[in-house]
Amino acid sequence: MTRQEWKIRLLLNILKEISERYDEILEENKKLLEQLHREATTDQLTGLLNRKALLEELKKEIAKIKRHNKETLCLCFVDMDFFKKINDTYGHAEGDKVLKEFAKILKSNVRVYDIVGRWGGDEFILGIINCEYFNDPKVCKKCPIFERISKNVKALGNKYNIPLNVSCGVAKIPSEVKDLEKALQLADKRLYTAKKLGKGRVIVD
Amino acid sequence: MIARVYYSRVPVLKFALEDVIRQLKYDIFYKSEDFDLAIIAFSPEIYPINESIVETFNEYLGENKWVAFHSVTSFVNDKTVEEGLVALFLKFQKNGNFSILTVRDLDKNYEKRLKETAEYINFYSKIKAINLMFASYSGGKIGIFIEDLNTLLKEPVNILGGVASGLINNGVVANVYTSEGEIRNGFAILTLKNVDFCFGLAQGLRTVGPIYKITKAVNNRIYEVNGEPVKNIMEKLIEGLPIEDIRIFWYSPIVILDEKEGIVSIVRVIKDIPDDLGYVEFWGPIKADWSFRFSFGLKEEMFYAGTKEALRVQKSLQKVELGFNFSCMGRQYALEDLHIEEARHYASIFNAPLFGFFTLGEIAPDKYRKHLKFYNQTSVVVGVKEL
Repeated sequence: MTRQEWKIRLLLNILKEISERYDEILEENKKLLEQLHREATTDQLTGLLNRKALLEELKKEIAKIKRHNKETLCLCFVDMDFFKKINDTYGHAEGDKVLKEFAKILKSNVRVYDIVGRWGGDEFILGIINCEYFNDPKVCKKCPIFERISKNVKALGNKYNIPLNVSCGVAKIPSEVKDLEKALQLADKRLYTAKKLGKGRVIVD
Repeated sequence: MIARVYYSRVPVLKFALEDVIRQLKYDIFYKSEDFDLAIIAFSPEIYPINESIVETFNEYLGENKWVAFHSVTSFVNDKTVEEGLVALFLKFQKNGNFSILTVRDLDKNYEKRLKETAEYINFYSKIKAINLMFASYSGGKIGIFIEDLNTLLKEPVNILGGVASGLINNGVVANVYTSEGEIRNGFAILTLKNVDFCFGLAQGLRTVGPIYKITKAVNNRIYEVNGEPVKNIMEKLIEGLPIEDIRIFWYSPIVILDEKEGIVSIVRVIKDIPDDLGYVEFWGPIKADWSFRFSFGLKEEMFYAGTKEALRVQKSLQKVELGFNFSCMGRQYALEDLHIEEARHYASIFNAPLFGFFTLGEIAPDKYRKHLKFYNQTSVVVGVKEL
């Protein structure tokens, strides 16, 4: 080989080394971006979607409903009854533990395509897709999702000797409201009604 | 000042000196009977080391009127000369004069040598002067001395120069000489006083690829990069290449990035790669935590960078009376045939005598004259005029 050929060989070797290195950097960058995205969309305490990401997901789902006109979405404002007592009796650290447990209960009792997120404090939102139970106020409490959640929360309360339970206000899209803002207002109002009427209730109309 | 550069290929030192003095005597434009100062670059392959070297220089050039050093290839105006002796003669015409500092045995009293050198340089940074450093190879440790010296220097740093060059039987023989004797482990600083100067740093390398972090380094060697053994990179780099001829890697030095600005700070050229690839040795010091990128030298771009710097020096100084070029041997190799053209261009741009040599390391401040640095693969081009 001539000197010029050695020179080209060297350049090719360097390019090979740096292209492999770039592959590694791209992979690292990808992981970093994923981590940043996770941090930006996740609630730090519970690991559920944070408020911003939750709104995004709900918006996407509503857009899908509008486009296909087939599915329905029940937007549920969920709140733990007597949670304040946990904080008052056992302190905020224990309160945080209960919130984490509650988040786990919510996550593990909905279906994979349903949406779960933390709205703030002890208020959470469920986006339940295509659930017939919530159309009728008489059977809404029989909804298996709600039943399972309620049962698990009560069990959690037993550990602390506090009668924890779940109250829920539901707004139905698109049968009652068409957009997210109104759905949130309606569900919040119904949650307030549920609390006022005696806790452990699901209000759907 | 009047400067003249001559060369001789007569293979006996005293006859070569007689030859260049004769050329000076018969130069009808020199207009002087004698000279104030001589700087000699001579090839160790032709003029073997013996005890009479200093005596011979003293006899022909006069005591304390000269500095000499080994050089494989030297600049003689618009030419390059190998295997010979090159002499620069200087005669001051205005207020110029000079002094010489000889520093030997760096290993003994290292801190004291460092302090004395810094005091000397700092003194002359306050007046119109340039310090020209001619350093011996010093077992590869001269770069570390320069790095340490930097921490003691005051702005504006006004010292430039190069490390003597000489390769015999694959070993480095690169000494410096003054009337005080032979310097194998040290340097001489020649201070030209009452002169104005301007300098440029030419590299012209194309940086490629991502930034690497040196995680383990000792003296001039890298052991780990990005937390991995350097072997992992070198295996890919040497594939299909003749590792026994290390010069092929001189096309691709690493460029050390400035910590703060991320731009090219200094360049390092590979000196040795052992068979087990356990480390890579460079012609200059390397520190852990430095970041670098690979580069590639295309001769036309390197040549253009040199020309650009020489033009800048000429423009800044208006009238150059003497040009110096301290250029890396690695650069000489990568410039291929254009290394001769570069000397021709510098001499033509300056329209003045040009002296210098291809070094084993270049010594110069950064372009803002804030820090003294030890370079590889760089051309330090200097223009000087007497005040």
